[in-house]
Amino acid sequence: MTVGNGREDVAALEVRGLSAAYGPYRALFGVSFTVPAGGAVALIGPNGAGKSTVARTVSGLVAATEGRVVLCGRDVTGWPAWRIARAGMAHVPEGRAVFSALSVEENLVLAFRRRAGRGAVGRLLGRAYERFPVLGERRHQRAGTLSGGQQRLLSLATVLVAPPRLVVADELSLGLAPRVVDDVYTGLAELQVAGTALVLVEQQVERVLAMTDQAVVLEHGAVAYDGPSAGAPAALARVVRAAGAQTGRPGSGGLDDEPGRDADQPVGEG
Amino acid sequence: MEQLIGFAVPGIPYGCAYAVFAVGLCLTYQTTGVFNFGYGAQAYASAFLFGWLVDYQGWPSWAAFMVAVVVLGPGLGLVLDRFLFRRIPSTHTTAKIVTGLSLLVGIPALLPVVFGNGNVVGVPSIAFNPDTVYFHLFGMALVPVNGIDLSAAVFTVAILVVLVLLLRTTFLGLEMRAAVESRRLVQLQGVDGDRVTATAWAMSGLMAGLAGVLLAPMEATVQSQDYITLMVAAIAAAAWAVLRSMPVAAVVGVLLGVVGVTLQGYLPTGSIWYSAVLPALPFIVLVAALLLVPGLRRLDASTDPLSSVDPPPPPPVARARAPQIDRLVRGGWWVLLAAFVVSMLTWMPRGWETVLNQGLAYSVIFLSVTLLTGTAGQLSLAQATLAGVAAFTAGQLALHLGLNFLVGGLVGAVLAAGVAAVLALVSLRLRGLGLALMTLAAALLFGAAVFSSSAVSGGTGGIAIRASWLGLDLFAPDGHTYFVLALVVLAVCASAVVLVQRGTVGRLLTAMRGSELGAAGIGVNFPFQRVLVFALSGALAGVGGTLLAVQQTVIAPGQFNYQLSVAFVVVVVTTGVGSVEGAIQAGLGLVVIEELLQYAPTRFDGLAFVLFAAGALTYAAHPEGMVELQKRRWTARAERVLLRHRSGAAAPVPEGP
Amino acid sequence: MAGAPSPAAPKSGASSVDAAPSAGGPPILAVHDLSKSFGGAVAVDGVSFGLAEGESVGLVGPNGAGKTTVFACISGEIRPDTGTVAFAGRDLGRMPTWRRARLGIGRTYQRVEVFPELTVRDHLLVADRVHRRRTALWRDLVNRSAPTADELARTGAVLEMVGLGPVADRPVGALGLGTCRLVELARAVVGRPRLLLADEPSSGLDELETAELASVLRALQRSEGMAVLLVDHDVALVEAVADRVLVMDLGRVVASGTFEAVMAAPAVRRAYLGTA
Repeated sequence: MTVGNGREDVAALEVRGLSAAYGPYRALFGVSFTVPAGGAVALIGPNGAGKSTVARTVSGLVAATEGRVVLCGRDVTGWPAWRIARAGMAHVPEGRAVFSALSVEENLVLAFRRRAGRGAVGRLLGRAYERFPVLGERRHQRAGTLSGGQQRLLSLATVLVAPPRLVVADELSLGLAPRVVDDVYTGLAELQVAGTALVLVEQQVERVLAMTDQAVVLEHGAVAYDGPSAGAPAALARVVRAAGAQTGRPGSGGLDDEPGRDADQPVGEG
Repeated sequence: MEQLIGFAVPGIPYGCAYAVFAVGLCLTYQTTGVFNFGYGAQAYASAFLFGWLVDYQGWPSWAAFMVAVVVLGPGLGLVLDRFLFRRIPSTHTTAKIVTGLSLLVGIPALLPVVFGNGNVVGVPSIAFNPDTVYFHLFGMALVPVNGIDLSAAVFTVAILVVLVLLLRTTFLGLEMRAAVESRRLVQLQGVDGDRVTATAWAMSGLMAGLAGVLLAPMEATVQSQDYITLMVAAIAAAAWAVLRSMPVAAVVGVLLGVVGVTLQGYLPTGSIWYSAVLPALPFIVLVAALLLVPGLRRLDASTDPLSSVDPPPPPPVARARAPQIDRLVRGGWWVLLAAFVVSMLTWMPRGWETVLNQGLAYSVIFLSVTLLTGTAGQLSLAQATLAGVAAFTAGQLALHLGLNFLVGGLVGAVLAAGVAAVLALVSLRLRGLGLALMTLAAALLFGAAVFSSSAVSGGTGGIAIRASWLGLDLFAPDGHTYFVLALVVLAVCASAVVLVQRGTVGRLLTAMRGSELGAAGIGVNFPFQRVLVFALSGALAGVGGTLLAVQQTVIAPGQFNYQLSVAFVVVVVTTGVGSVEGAIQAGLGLVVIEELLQYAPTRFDGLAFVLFAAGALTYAAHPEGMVELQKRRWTARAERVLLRHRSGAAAPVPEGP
Repeated sequence: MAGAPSPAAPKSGASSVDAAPSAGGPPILAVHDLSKSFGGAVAVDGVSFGLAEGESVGLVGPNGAGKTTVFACISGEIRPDTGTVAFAGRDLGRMPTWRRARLGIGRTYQRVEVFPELTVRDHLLVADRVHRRRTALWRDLVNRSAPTADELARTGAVLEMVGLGPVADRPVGALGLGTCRLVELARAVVGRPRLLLADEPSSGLDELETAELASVLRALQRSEGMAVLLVDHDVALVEAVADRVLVMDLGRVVASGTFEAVMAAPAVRRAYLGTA
């Protein structure tokens, strides 16, 4: 890892025995993993395994019931999300994550002001418009009128222009056309070069594993695999098989074997 | 010209009052996402405390102002934020409305309980002296400008400028506008969303307090009624501004006041324009806004991108009871019913029988709330009005055609159903808050323009029901005819509601409540179903209204005003809006508590509504209703105790895997 | 990316933007010259295509290509600026969504639109009764609203087919996203639609759930003879379900043909996959 901030010894993020719940529903059970400074970790697993919950708990949106979250050597467990954000963690939530009633420029100002300070806002705005001319063209347009891809671009722009210490990105590729996904990943790669550590929550497994060196596979809110990315697909397949065995309902027409049967059909139809 | 200006200037304080309230409503909505029905009540609380401190405690005005406005205003706002609105997910529109309505009912009822008196007389002005004529506008003798005009105008312009600058040009304003869209997302930008929202509430509270105290000298007495009426009129101005643009709200508000007072000068006093249309002017303007301003149809389309972070609603305490317990509970209800009937027919004192009879009539009206709000999920603030439509129809038919009052009541119920259907038709494109405002406007229109007309209501005294109109001898001093009649009507109506809830229509309504889009996608005729449920609910309210009229032996407009409609919703929501049981508990509970309070000192008269309002404040957390919640808890507890005992003894029932 | 199409695929279909139904039968759906703009931005720009009876078509394209808008115009949630949508030879004009549904256009939603308080079986029962116009109030009032044996058989059959039998009596609010999508599918199918619109059914599902959904969709299309119009980003799902693929970009249909042919076309690869 080539990291420019001289903090190689301190992990960017350390998650220890993290548990969390939505009201009465428990979602995480003792999740632990570490993101080295400037490193990139993929967080994968089947739907409902708790990937997004890990992201939200780490960033303080959901309160942890147990365990610790350490950001660059600082214990931020129990901090409100806004303090964690100021401490250098940027969480890009899944889906539409802009303020649709505010203009593009107001969205950017809001993001830069607290993270980078009052004086830096003008400079960062200029940089954002230079790098993403489409945002400059639409700076006075309400963010809600942007297309889905542009909205995602807007929320990423705040991170890419003012690189934080750690980015937690949740389902960046969800609902995006493959070409836009390429742009997004290029931006993330640049961030990492700049020394920002990444936690990537993804459904598109191949893609994310290609750019991370370490992967965490979640199953039912617990870690099923934590190691090099190369070993993750096998672990994920195990988890998915186990999930399939559980949901395969007797007497329901054997859903498990249908995909196999079906995969042949288009060829036969040709 | 001079005459026109002369007529118009006295309208300025009213116009400014509307403007100040409308701007406050917009501010609150734009920075907190809540349309605060309790805003007028907050203003009243500050004005009352100010007057009370000055009048009864002899405080100097500045000290009273500090306590009543600078401390109480923001303090109340902070309390509302901390303990109520912060806990309501931003997408839960009904909970926000119900909470606001509870404040509207609860705060004015609470103050007399605390201070022993609801009215304060002759509140001093803190700005210009109300009686001094400061100058004559354009030097015209007909146009004196006194302290009230002056302080209202100066104050309105000042707050408008300050607030617009704050929201549009400061970073705090940007934070507020962002926080209202998503309290979560704003945190990820390093902004303390809770602090921002709390600040917004404190500001809104301060505005309410200021408005309350500044407007107090306009009327001789500080009464909650005036403030709430003022606010309801201000809603019209806020609606034209789509609850957002404060300058628009202010301009419409001022115009509303000025035009109203000017017309008052020009319209002939005896005409229907003067007596019916003029008082209803703000409500006509509100209806027009709801029909014409497209933005009001999308009020509830707030989409917090991070709303899924909020924990899902708590699982309802087991509604399904174990069969043994179910049998026990059902048996219990039958025993209770039998005991009730026997008591009413035998030993119940006359006074209490009357009270409970009234409760039965209320229960029928409340069933209409159960159907509309509980099953269809639509909030209507016009149920008392619909009850009144039927009662007045029956009264007029009896008066002019000599028709039996009960038959007339059925005709009236059909008419009420028709009115409700028309109301549903014109508001087909409105949802949630928009619909609540439309029904409120309809209730006010009827109150101001229809029921107030002596041709309808027979003047302020109302229409006295004569025994000759009733075929049955309902008023016989020792008879129980009324009781039997009310019980039968209630049983029929309750069965109808249960059948509808359990049947296809009930399922359709539940489906529409869950997802309108999904329901349309399978071919549910949404407009028809909505009109149908409104009509049914209107008919129930009408039947209940007729029953209530017979029981009270007089029909007066005051029995059917919008405040009662609001109170109805609050009361039924407390006991349980989802079930027929809830409506009956609400009907009987309300009258019994009110009757018991007769024995308490007069200051406790309003306590019943304080209690129900407090119950309704928990709606967000327990939409099934406070009473219903407790019942379910106790049933679950009983189940545990009884069934542990049983399951230990009995052999386990074989259960399919 | 997933499954690179075989280079041997013919190029002819891909370059054609005349997206008439491939089969010879009468079109069940005919979209003609559809345009819609929001504010100044053109979302859909003169789109025409058709679906034959029983045909399954995938509609793909990058974000902002106008797929969702086309969908909303067909189901009646949005009114197009110009152009017509005809269903089974009948111009739908300004008909509201619910009437289109009664004509036989079923649909599922990208963000699930289920009824959380109703059980799975009630979803189907309601849809079935709406379809057969058995929702009159008087039936409720004379207590004749319990499900008949006939209705139970019909809904039961659909439940089994989709694999929802085990959760039939659970309220849908308590079920997971994948199951909710199946519920939507079953609810749409119970009314025996002639055309099923499926809007991003794989969004938010993992691979296992997507595969399950694909197989159910395909089986339904086969057994019921339904036409299916599918919008999805999941290339594998489109490949598994669609007989024919339409590609949209910038509000226009830029290619149409078999999956392999379309995916091999350079214009499509540029617009959609980002590789030439």
